[in-house]
Amino acid sequence: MATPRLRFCNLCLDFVHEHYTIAALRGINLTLHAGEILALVGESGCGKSVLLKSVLGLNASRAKLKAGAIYFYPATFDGKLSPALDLTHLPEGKLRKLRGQLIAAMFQDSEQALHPTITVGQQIVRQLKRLQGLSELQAQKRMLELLTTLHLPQATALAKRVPAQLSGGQRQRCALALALAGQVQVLLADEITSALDLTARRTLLRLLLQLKQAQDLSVLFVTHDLAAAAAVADRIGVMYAGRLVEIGSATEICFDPRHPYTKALLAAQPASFEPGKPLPTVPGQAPRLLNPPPGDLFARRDAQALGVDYVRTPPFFALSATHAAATWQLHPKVCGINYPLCPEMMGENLD
Amino acid sequence: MIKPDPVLQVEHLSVAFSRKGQQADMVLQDISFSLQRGECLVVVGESGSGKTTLCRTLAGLLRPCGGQILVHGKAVCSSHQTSVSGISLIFQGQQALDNQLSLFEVLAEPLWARHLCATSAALQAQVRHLCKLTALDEALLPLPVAVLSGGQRQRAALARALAIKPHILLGDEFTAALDVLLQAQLINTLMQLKQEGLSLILVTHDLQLASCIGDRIAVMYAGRLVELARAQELYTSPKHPYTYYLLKAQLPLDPKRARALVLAPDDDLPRLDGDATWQQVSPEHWVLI
Repeated sequence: MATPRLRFCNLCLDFVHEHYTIAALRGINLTLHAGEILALVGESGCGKSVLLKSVLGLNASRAKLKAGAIYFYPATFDGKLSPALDLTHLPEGKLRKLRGQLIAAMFQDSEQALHPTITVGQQIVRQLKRLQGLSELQAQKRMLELLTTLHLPQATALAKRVPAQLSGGQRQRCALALALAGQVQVLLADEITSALDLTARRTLLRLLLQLKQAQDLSVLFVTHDLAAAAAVADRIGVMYAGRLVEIGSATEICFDPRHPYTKALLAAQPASFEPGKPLPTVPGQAPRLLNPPPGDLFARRDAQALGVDYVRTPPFFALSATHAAATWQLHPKVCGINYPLCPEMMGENLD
Repeated sequence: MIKPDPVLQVEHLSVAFSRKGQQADMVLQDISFSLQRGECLVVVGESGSGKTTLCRTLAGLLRPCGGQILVHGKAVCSSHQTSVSGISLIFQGQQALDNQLSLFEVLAEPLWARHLCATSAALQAQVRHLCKLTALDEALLPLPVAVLSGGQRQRAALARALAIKPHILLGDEFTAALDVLLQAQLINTLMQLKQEGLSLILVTHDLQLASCIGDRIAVMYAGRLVELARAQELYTSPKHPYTYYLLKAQLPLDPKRARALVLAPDDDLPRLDGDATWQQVSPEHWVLI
């Protein structure tokens, strides 16, 4: 049985503006296991970054938790069970101790993550001294080790440069080194490969796989690049309009998508295009979540939507031990097969 | 088959960035190609290969240090001439739109500036026509650009670029910031415009996308064109080692194969031979050998 590392329980999060409220997350139930790479895919505005930032309380102050909790289960080295921490109700001081130490975050724009005028080596050394209490000499040594692990050749010369003197791929790997300076158990990665070109993207994806193997690292990998997700993720979760609509192993999502949105997303990937034909797409765009109506919000863009899609939110139907999708298309009356429901995926109706 | 009717010819184009006291940095070197009417040419390359510089030079924003650009057979050299000659440019970023203006003003501005509409009624009609072309909702016209979504802004940028009725549209990674569904919508719109005779040069780093939207594909590497061929031919029989390298590095949408590719050791990047020349190996297939 896989050990849970991070668990989102019926997470509902609003962005409260002066005159209106946007429901950014509408009941997310999700578990990230130890040593697992879980990819979250979806269009911009679907809430994937908000979900990731909510783990460390990094959302704007307008973000208000409406319901739910995020539990973190820290790994212990003596085999004892450590108590779960509810990250949503942790005081800021304790949360700050977790940030970078046990849970680290990394974003698309590495230029903003790094200090522009301090050499990258010095930045990593500082972080090592702060998080691990190493002496200057130890930290220097560890910094060079870290850079070498991340396949940055000529680490000594590279450490003496400032971010502007590095390529995008090198900078992103330095940001990863910073993220790994603590005893990180969970890495939150937000679109970290999106700004990179093919070669740099491949190196970074390979590093994620190696870190997962070597350090039992759990990674929440938010991306809009399905091919990148397919390459590294154990499981892929698909989000639409603040909800999870489908989750499954990478193979299940890529070859057996069940939610109409997942199908549309796969069909619109350049890898599945046929030359000379109009590209398969769906009209419209993701809804803005001001007073979201009930039901499956994708129905408004889906030609095959059922009447019930506009009225009631579909529950999660379990297709296998790892694969579940929230769509009425899987209801016995529609598809003729009795898929069991997944009670643990349905926060709202649970309590 | 497209009849040879070149709207754009680029001959031995070179661009250098020079800094004081340093040797000039050749960013584009000896680029030659032509673009036919109603054709879509996709320029592919990794970051730093000079794709954006090429776009900016064609749009007249950068001055070449060698070679020439012919539009409809006439040489152009200044930005004024390029814009008059009917080349429009759209960028990746969405900062290009003035957030203070309403969508109507954004679309009407090029029409005003070029005196393309004599009466206010004609202006109204033309703006509405642009909205229809790019599938923008007319209800958005009075709204400030700041409130539009990413997809709508990119459509607005496209509509504005089309306002001057360009013969050639340059798109520099203009779908890169969009989600796949919006990207497909926008590209379908472009393909319709292409049917009506618009010539396109699109720049992207996504070879798979290039192969399905481009009639021909040009591969750039280190400031040079290394291969230019019809999409199908480039995909099935690449001649330059760098094209082959790019094709191999594309991640498939298959977890097993994609993971194997990620874990495989890196291939060495092919080196460019300084003496290589741009040669035609078969009709419509050019390679740097």
